[in-house]
Amino acid sequence: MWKFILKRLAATILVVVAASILTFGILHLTPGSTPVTILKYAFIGLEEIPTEAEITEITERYMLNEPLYKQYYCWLKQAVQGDLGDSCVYKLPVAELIGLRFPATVLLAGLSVALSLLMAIPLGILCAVKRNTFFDHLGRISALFAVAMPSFWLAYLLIIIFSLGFDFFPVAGFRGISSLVLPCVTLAAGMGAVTMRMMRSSMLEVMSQDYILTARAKGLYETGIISRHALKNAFLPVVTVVGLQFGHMLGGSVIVETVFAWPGIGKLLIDSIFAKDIPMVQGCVLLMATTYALVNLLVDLSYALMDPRIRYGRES
Amino acid sequence: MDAALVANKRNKEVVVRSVKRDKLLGFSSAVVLIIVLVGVLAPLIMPHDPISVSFADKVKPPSFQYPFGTDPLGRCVLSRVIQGTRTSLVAAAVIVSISGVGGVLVGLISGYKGGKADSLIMRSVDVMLAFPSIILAMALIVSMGPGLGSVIVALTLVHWTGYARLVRAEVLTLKESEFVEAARAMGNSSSRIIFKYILPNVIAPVMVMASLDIAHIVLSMASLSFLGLGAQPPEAEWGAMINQGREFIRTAPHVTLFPGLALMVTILAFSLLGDSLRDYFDPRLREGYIE
Amino acid sequence: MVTKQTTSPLLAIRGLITHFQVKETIVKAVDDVSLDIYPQEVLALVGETGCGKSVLALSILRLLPKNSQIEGSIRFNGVEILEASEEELRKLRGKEIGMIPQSQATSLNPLLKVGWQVREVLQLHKTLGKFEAREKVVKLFTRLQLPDPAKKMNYYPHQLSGGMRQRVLVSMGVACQPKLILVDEPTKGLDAVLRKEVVTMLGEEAAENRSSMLLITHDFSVAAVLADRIAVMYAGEIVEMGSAAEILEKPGHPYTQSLLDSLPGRGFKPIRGFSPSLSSLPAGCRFQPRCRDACPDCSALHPKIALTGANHYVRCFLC
Repeated sequence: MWKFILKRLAATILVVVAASILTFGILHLTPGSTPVTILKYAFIGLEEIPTEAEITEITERYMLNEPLYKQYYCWLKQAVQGDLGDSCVYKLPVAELIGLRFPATVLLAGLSVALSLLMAIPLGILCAVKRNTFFDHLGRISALFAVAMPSFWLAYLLIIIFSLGFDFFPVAGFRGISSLVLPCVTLAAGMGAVTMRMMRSSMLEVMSQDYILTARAKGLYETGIISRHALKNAFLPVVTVVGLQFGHMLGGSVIVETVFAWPGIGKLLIDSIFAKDIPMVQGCVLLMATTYALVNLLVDLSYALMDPRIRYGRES
Repeated sequence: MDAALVANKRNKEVVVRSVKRDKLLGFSSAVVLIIVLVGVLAPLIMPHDPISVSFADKVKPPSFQYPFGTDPLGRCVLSRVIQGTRTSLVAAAVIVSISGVGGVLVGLISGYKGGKADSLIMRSVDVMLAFPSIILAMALIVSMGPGLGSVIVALTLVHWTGYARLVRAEVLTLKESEFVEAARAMGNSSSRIIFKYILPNVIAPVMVMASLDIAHIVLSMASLSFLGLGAQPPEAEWGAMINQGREFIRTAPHVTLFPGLALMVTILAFSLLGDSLRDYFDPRLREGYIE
Repeated sequence: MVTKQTTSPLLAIRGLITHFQVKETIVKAVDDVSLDIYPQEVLALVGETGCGKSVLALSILRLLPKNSQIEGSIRFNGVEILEASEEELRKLRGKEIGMIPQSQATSLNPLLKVGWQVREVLQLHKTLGKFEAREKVVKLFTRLQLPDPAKKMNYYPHQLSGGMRQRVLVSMGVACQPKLILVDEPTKGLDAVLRKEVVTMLGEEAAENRSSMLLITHDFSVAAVLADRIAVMYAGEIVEMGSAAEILEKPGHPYTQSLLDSLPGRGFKPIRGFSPSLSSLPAGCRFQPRCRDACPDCSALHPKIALTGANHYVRCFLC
């Protein structure tokens, strides 16, 4: 168990370090990465001619005269202390601005995950139990469509149907609980469909195992066989998928927040990209990658808690 | 359970699945073929110029002249959807072939050679796979500047990892198989064994992955273009078209509806093709196969 | 042992046919099988893998996949199993008819503690409370010589050795003192020492609970130790049935003879050819393509099972 946790912890740290290198690289990967090219690519535009003052400022701010590893070391040292620099647009610390926006994304993503699981798991189980019936076919076809539907397009369909047609939910911004409905449904649809398909196939796989036959031979009620013997086993692979889905959800939140003008970190990222606010972009990317790594660490740990084969090693 | 019983059960599933599978495979490959034909023949079948602006005709609803209506700049939506098919397919083909060939090569070498190089490569693949792919792509695009070219480079850099990991796993099992052992005993060189004996056996799973990957790539590309990071105006691209129509969803929903539909059909077709190819290639599901 | 033939049988199977419909072909896993098991009797069903013996056991519990068809009659203790409702069957399973499944490695639920898995069946059928059931499980584990029984209850299957898992499965099958125990390949995947222990343990359990036993095995040496009577199955049919002593000493059917000759202690001669597929059986006698004594009649006519001695039945023209 401890070996497993340490291994996963080490992997997570590796990913976070890689994320920091990538984030650092956003600025320094620009072709040439001389002060002038960085200025042109990242801040003022390719056609502009940078002034002497701008060049001096950028060189000083990013220590471009120093060797690359030194720049990275200084940047990392500050980042670890929570100092991600100042936003070029707002002239305020990046960490502070992100702190203001992050809760909105956590709320949106958290509710969407909850909604998708609430839909996907019972439906997946039901489809597996009622395999090859009309209900199963309907569920599988809807899931197929939900997976293939681009979230931004689904968002507009929902807007057309609900907000404009019936005027139920607000179309944009944050105006209380009802503002959450359409973004959450949009985000949850794709993830829910993937989880549902996984739940169904996992359940079918488990129901054909020898230990289910053993349970049947004991004379258990069918409901007991499903709830006590099959479900727990069927959940295991689904847990991993939910963790991976969370990554798609972070990506999806960028789109959904843009469509619904939701004041989260995804919208902030996109706005910063277009405003060429590089420190802000770095902060958002670093936060998203770190969050994803931590969520997957949590998922792996809960997997270990659910599976005694990992919790207690093999006794020899 | 008795072997006979297991065999029977499997046999039944094989038969039922093979019938369903053949139908699905036929259907999805037919749809994919149509999509590809639309992309290839785009210049011939477009009723109007997809780029030229005509303010007199802006946001017209579908009509005989413009079957899908016109967009906010008076361009024929049908022509732009057709041109968008070409854009998406060409970009997806470039991304899949480069990342596929690169990933397969890395996987072959990593799996066959093993050792330090292998663990280094696979560790970096693991790290890359541990990123939300679209965020990774966005970070890369930021440093290259928005545009379709950046999207292609970014998605290529993101997607090779999947092939590398898949091929490596296949190679690890194939490496121990008898026919490879025999080839080695006969004194074949490593490169000959890799390309003559191992490569043909990893083609099938790679094809399956590529088909599923095209669906992914088309979606990622449209998402990035929708956000304004990909195709730039006046290029016709489905995601960008949906973005251009967003202010008009109340008055002119057709501007967003049709490119979205094209996007969905394409994604659906390629993922169905991938799924049915997987069933087709899976030896355990092949007809008549009994342990 | 009681003189069984005077009492009425506990389990009476008549003309049992279990088929699987696989698209257009029909797989005849069990074909016209009739047999009796008397109270406290051990009947061994011997045959090669794939001859339909496990399907026979699952037919008795009606635990077959949906594409199966059953015909004939299975009377257990006066109840017709093929006409019983799902609820009646559920009450028989585990309580009146216990099953000890094959493959100890996969037959226990990996996520549940083994004590819980045994306790479950007691709480269900014996309406014991949690505490009493736990006591009972400790007693069962002790009787089955599972070391440190109270502690082992809280173990998960992967923490136990193969032999211990086999004991857990046995304790599960006999927990409710069933009238009939179905044992499917109890020695599969166990080494020689463990095999002997498990066989002894099964015999003791059947005697302790005064249960009858249907012992399914491919191994004559296991049957020889435990069985009162032996039925030999080939390609879905019973080809020979009689008292254990008689079958082992004076086997009538060429297949039984070949099987016995293939044992390490009795010549170690393999049987030529392979068992036929249950979906395309040979014409005439099903064993005839592999039989060393086959005559022209054997491939033309299908022999009926016939009495050749005292309670000794053989399905062969030559006997």
